Amino acid sequence: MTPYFFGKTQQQLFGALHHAQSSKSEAHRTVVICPPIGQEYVRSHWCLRLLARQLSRKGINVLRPDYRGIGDSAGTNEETTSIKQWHQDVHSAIEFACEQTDSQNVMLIGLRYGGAIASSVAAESSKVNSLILWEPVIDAVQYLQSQRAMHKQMIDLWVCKLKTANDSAREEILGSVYSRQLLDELENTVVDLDAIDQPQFIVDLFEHRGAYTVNQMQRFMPAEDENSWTNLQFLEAGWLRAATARQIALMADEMFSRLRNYNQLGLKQNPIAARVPALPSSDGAISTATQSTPTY
Amino acid sequence: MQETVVQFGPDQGLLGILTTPHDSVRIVGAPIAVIINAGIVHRIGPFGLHVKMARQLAEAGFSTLRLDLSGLGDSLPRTEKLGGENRAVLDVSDALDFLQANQGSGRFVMLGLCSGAFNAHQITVQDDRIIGAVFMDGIVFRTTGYFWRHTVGRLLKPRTYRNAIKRRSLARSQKWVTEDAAVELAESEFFFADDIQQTEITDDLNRLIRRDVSMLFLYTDGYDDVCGIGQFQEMYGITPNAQVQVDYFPKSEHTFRLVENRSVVCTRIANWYHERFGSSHAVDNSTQPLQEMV
Repeated sequence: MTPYFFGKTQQQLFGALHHAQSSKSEAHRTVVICPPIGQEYVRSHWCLRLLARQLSRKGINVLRPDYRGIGDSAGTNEETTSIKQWHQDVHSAIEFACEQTDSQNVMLIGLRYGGAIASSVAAESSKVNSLILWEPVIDAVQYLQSQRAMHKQMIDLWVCKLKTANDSAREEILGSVYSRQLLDELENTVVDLDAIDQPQFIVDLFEHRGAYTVNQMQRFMPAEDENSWTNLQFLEAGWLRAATARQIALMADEMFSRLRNYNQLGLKQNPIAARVPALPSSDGAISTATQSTPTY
Repeated sequence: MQETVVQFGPDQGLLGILTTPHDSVRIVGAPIAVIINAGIVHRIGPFGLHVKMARQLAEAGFSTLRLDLSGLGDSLPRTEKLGGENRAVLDVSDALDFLQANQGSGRFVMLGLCSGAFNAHQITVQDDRIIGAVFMDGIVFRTTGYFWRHTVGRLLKPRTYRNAIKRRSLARSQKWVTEDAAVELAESEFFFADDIQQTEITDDLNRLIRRDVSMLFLYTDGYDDVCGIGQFQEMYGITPNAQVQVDYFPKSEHTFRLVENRSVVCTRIANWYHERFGSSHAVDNSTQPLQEMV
């Protein structure tokens, strides 16, 4: 793994680049991971690092960037005033990953709100060839409600009575301060998976399976994990999902193989415009799916 | 202020972020701060505490290395066979060697929270290059005073009962970890060696005092084994003074969850750092260009 700061000097972003390791290694096999935001970013760091290492062992280059104001990247969370800035960071990360790995396009893997960011970026970028969404935030209103509810619970159980910032300019939620403008945008996030042309693989909790319905470009895999995102007691617990990460690495490998086969057919056009062939058919855990009304 | 990735140690496997101040505020010859992991949280610290701390110290003119110990964050595990040594001591020793060679400073200040404070204690005792240390919710021992303040004091607070009832009702509505499971979880996250003797730690601290090491002990109300600023003297028989300073944050959780908590503790540390190391200290040598930077 090689760590970098990239982007503009005053707004440098941190990224950990895991180089492809196996003999399968090919320049076009590159993944950019879109991590969650807030405390979920801290909780999932270990697991995303594990995923990156597993992918690299399968001959896939992986960049794990931090958005501005989060992790090691420059700035503070509060300074981010638009989710478009995070989208821009992912675009920069894609450019950087392509430069470093000599790739033309990348697969995005988005976890939680990173899934929402990845979806938006995929919809507007010709450099994204496919998408894996892991427990993605589909309903941003519900997401913010649950975050606020946990924050309220935490403050209510504090050793003394206190209040945290919550005014017209900013609001503190679970240890991160967000600008009001950002929260307004975040609340209005629309994740329309049907509007995305690239193939998508969605990994979500079994209880959320109702949020997705059948579509040729999408596949759904129920994860046999517990939902710990909304439980205050797990606020600082590491989010360790090694088995699911392994399955995602396998699926990413498979998706890259299919993209390569598609390119070998001699169809030069971008898979986004032409629509690549359907993903593997259902085998037990994996089933076809598209988005419908979220259930959480 | 500038942030740079640095790698060093066996196979360049240890990773840290070096935060250096702008030349206009840089305090020449000041020791470099080294912040190590709290538990298994990577180098940014719980709720980004270490990032804020490093940036605030940089604004005050000091350089800081936020280090991932081996096997944590993005650092590789050490693969050499070791005879029961604390790997953190070896990791930090590698970090200090690197900083000494590349930053031109031979004096350092250790900072750590929880298990980080435990490791910082071990390292500070063993390495003479360390001239200061900040221990946040570090090694503590329950005293009689603790019993009165914590147990009896809390029994007299209505909020204790209110919160207990609320937690119970929460347990019914959510999948809350049961008491036994919570104990098991707490034990699994207990990073300190279980054979630490109070007399041994007291001896260590007295040795550090004689070595003229500046120390800042910070405790939070959220740390279950400590209650009140007076516990420090009860534990170690050392009266706080300019060299050994103690502070207690009654409104803070163990990991400084809230922005205000972090702001208060970072300001306290920056002020202490400036007070202890901000004046003209002898310059060890000139700063050399960085090597092995990415």
